[in-house]
Amino acid sequence: MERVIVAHICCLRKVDPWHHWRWVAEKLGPEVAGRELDCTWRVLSLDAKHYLAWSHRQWALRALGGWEDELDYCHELLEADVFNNSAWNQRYYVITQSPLLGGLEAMRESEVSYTIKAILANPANESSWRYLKGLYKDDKESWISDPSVSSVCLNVLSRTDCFHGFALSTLLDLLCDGLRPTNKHRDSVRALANEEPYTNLANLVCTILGRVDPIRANYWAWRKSKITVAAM
Amino acid sequence: MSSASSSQMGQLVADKHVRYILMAEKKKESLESVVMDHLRMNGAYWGLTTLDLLDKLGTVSEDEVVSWIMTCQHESGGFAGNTGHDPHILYTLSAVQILALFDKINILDVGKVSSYVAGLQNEDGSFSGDMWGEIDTRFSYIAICCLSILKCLDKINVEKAVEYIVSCKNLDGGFGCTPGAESHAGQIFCCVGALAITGSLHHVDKDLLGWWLCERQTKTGGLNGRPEKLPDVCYSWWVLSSLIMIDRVHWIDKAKLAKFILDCQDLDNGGISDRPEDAVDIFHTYFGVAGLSLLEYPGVKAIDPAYALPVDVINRIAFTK
Repeated sequence: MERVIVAHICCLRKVDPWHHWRWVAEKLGPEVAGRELDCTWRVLSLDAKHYLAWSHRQWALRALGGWEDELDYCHELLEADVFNNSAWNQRYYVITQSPLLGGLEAMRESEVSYTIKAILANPANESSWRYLKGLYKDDKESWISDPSVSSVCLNVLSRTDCFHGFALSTLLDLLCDGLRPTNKHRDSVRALANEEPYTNLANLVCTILGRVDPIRANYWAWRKSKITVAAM
Repeated sequence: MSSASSSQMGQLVADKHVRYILMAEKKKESLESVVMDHLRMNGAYWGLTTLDLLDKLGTVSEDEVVSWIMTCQHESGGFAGNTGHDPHILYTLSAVQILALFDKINILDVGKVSSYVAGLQNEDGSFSGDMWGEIDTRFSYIAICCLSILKCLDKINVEKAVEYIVSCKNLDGGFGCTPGAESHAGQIFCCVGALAITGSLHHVDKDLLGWWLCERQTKTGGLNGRPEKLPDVCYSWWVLSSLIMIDRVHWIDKAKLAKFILDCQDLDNGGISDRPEDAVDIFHTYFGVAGLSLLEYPGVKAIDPAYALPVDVINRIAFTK
């Protein structure tokens, strides 16, 4: 009932109702957590990327609790649309903020596995590649030494049916962060080269990126200029 | 993209846009006008700034606009979206910006307006939009931009304001509306703009954010606001101004973006839409023209990427008092 009244008031005042619902919910306490999550669920079922609804949902979890099913909810949304960046962001929010999970490092292995599956199903998904990198926040060593990261890049690069840009840029990041390339890496990249000269691996990756992602040619040229001896 | 299509880039039909804006102003009884009644102050800012960028500010009655603005001021010092509505930080900035366009900031009781804005800062450094307390980094930008124009930044705790903004920085280098919220180009503009105005851009990882921002350019040449969303002309402002503030604008294809914006024009009736073939509105007309300004399109005055006002207006403010 309060929600209906608030909605009317907000309509009359021509203001966005989200904050007012928050104000009412805060007065009512944690027992309304379910209701607030339900409310945002309804909005997100119509627009799964609704920015204010996600903001309200994060507030509700923080202030009122209800974390138990949130990871499953993110999974549900990603099943429906694996390109939903908001759902990936929420997933990250849950694994880092939920008091019920062990934190980023504890969740890393299972999340890497989850993300790699998503990447292999849709290699042209910016969100999943970013999420993968985010799992190694502040831990460059683990990022470059985890074989599954490097191998998902190689896997995608060996395919002829998909966009290679994100696999290439991830490989570039790994090389610049200290990954020592093997012959597998070199062969994989060389197979994509169109008679471009091989000076060093990172350099070649940038050259290919300038070709497969031409709208960002200036960015890849800049990346090339920044390659240090270590990345060769 | 073939060279044939690049040579087919359209022209900016500036006169048609000017007419569109002036007609929209007159159609007070239209459905669109009635529905948008409460944010008339924002609409006025979008329309008038566009006119100034096209060097046609003189086509409106300065006295009429200024006196209407003052009827929107609340006793708290804040401005509402229209006469008789409640004050909000959103409309307060627009009011100050419009007065700046007309070089009429001097008619304000600056102390009163700045106290209203400063009073909205919370203990953690964040800003609320109004007395109801909604927090959003948009309001941090608005407060900082507004107080900077009024030369009253010292009325707030700038260090804490910056601290709050930085707490909203995400792993991808972008910023959200609150800590943990998804990076969004609109929020990024607000955070980067606020950091730029307060001399705090060293908190931004320019390379990382620059890459996130240049990834917003889609094959159409247009920019989106988040991964996997459709391109929209309004991001021509939010993404572009952010890139300029962090010195990374050369990472996008400017020619393709300009073509996208020009393709969003209604060549017959004027106005610009969110993407080609859609209906036009004042909001997208402003962002399209502002985006072209940032791209240095001929015939459009230069706009300041942080203050979202013509550069000559900002220079005038800087050299006053």
